[in-house]
Amino acid sequence: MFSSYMLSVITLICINVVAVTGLALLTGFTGLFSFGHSGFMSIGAYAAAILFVKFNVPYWAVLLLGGVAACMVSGIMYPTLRLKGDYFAIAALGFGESVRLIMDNGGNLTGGARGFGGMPTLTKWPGALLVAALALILMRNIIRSRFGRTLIAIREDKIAAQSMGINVARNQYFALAISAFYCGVAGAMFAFFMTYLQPMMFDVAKSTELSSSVVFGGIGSLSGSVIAAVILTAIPEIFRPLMQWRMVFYGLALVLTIVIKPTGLMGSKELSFSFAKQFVRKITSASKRGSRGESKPKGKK
Amino acid sequence: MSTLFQQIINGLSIGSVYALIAVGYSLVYSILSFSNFAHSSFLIMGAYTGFFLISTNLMPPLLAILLATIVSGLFAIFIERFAYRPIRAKGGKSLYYIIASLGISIFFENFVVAAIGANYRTYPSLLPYKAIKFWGLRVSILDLVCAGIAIIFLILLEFFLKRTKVGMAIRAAAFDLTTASLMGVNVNFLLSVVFLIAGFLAGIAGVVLGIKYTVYPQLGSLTTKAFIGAILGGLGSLPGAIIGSVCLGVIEACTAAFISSQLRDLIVFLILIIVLIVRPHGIMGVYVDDKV
Amino acid sequence: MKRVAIAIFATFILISAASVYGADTTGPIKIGYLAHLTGDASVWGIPETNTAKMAAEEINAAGGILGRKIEIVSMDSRSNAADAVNAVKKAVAEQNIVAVLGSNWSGINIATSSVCAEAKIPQISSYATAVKVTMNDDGSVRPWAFRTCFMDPYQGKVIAYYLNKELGKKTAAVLYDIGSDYSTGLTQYFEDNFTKLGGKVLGKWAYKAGDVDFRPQLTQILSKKPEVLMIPITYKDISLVVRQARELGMEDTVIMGGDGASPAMLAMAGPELQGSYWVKHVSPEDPIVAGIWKKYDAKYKPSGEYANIYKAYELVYFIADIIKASGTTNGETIRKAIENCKDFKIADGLLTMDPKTHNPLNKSAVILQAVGKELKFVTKYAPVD
Repeated sequence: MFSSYMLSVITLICINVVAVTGLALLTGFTGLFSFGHSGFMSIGAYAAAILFVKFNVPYWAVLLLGGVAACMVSGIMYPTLRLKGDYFAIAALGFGESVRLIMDNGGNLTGGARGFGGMPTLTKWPGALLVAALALILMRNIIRSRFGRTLIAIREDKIAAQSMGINVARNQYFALAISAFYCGVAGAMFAFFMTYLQPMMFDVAKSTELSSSVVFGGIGSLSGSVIAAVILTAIPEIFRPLMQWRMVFYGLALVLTIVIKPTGLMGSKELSFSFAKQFVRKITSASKRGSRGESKPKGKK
Repeated sequence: MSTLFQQIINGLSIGSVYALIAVGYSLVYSILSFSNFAHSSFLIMGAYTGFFLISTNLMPPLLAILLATIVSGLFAIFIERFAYRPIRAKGGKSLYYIIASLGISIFFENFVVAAIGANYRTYPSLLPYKAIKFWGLRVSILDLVCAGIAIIFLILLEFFLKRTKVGMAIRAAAFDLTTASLMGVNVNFLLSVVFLIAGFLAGIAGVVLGIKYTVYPQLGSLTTKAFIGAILGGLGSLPGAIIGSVCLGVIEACTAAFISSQLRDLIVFLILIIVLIVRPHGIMGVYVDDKV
Repeated sequence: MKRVAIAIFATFILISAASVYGADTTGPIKIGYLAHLTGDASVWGIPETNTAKMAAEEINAAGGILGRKIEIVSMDSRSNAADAVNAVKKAVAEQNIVAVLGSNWSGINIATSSVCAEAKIPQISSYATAVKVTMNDDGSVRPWAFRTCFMDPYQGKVIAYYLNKELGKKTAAVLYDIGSDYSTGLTQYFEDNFTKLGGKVLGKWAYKAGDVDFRPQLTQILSKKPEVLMIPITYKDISLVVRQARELGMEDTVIMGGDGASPAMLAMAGPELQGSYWVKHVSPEDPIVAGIWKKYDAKYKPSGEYANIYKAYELVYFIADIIKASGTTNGETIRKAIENCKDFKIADGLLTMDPKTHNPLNKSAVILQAVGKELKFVTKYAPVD
């Protein structure tokens, strides 16, 4: 029913969803934009590949270890969190490029620019869907926890949060670490999808793609980020002939989104069936003269 | 170590262009407190406009370059008016500015690739690619002219900020935008002027870069280095932007020459992190805490 | 998980819209051509693709093969391995291509080789020169990957031998791109061979793609006074490097590089490049190559990339003749035919494939020199131990 091509696109979507979900916590819920998260994907990918090929560590273990490796490296960005978001964004850019440079200089360990291969195609659509689903469930729980609410408080008003006794930098760092973990896992999945890695596969363009998905989907909406990841991975495949103009529209869409509706596609609402029902109800009641002014609880399930 | 002086000259040359870019970027940052990543688009606009105007041979090159900077300036005003002002009206969250400017830079760079082509263009030879030799060192004529242009523009900027009424208003606004507006400063007009200047600086930087390194759509990626230079010198401080950028140029040259050319950018990144740990506000940064 | 369900549902809708095409086994024989149609590398990708189409038209005008026409399915790699993999998968699933020709970038070919292996169609690169394209790290060959050009180990040898034995140079410095598989590979093979001949590599300096100022590295290189500056990089960087090198006072040093060179670089740094040597796969003055080049320039926007134009032409005719000789488009059959081809007639001579490495035997290189506004043929060169 589904060609192997379509299945591989679905797999790729799942990989991007995992990465974007992690980033949604950092950018969407904590308000920190990053230009360098492909660096974490790179670390996860190479760690997983090397452990598998050279040390025969099994697939599911390397996925986790890839995430852990990325998480550990994220510590280097801590000093930038004490300052304004712009410092973090630019430092993240430097980080992503530095990771790439390290991989290029990895000699026999990473294969350098000539690449690292030998991974079998272990990331297939059933496994990928499973990981994506787990990632989403975990993230939803994180967001709903006290930690999640703390992050939103920081995003909305850093100073107010601080005066409430919240340690802003530490909480931002946890968000960063978690987002790094997610990207690391996504990178590991990617390594076993491509079966061959080159440092140039994880460049600024990839970082920007990931971070922008969160914006499109809606800052503060998890399902929005997922939908955006789906769309952004699927659209290039549908519109292959328009490849060159794809990035032009992409940039334009980013600007228009943020200028017209900064909260993105979904706003800070989550996708849910009750929301859909409510939407329908609103339309039908508004069509009658003088709506009754019922206030239903909004969006969040 | 015998090449140290030559490397310092190399570094100064690279750094002077970073400085030109960093000043425009820092100017916007000091007023609006956000990083205008679209600065690279202003730069590309200047580079390509200059290239096309000079290629048509309709006017003396100097006039073409001047026109190119004006076009960049107007482009910057356009961006401010249609992308940033609506965001400011809605509250001006730093994150939104960053994203909008990012979107603009992606849009513009790819637009140039799609519409004009990714091939690089060479500015017609306006200056000889020769070097002046003295004391065993070589300084290229091109570099001297470019550095000269950079210095002239920076002096003009300094004059404008210190000696004119509008300049004074800008300095006031850099300190506190809201209070300045309460004092009767027309904020919209002021911001247009600031962006015009930023556009000018980016435009001339674009022309200079185009002459030195050819014109191609990804030319704007050099602004990243300039941003790092601005951070090193202290975001929001104009002298800091210049000093930080020039230092960055020299550090890059010396690192590539004496430590490792393969790992240069990694080492620069580590230096950045160390600076942010030890002196978070850069060499000359004046950190004004957010006030409630 | 409601949200994931909805997301997946949305995906199905989007993707099913994309694959409405069905299988087609009676119409034209479809041959995929993988190339970079966007980005810096499009300077090679676009001529290759156009030439492939031109060759296909010629073959069709002469009656096609096995009673069917051939059709070139163009796949844009976007200079990006992930996109290339998707492009090939899509063409395989929707257009039923029987072979993949191109690209000229090793990384792209290595990444897409597993797709071709799974689809059981042969892949013949145009100018991908890294060893890994046809062979795994343990020395075993990749059954479905082939090439008809020489590799980087050979190219490194050519450069080293030519400099040392023909030009008598004993010291060299290298400036390479740390992020490029081509550049790092060629550097290593050059150094190995040059040192074996008794030459000395005084130092290797690197830069990162995107860098535009090489003067820190060049200043250090100059201070060591090498006889040769070897630059295994691509045309855009070559122009900037050589211009800056001359500016810093590099006058007597011989400059040589590999097949990343292109006539396009002379437009930018013509005066500075005079006298420099470059290795290419074929000569622009070879009558057959020149003939194909002229045909191309007459039909499309003129391009200086005669080598890629020639190669695309050769590949299309090669695969067409293989299919004709095999009498079928069956993957395994044509794969074996390519693997075992011996003295097979191609545009510019005879091709013998080495079944153990899937590389052609007896490919020599051509040395060109920048003279005036062109790259002029100096000699055909095959290093002799």
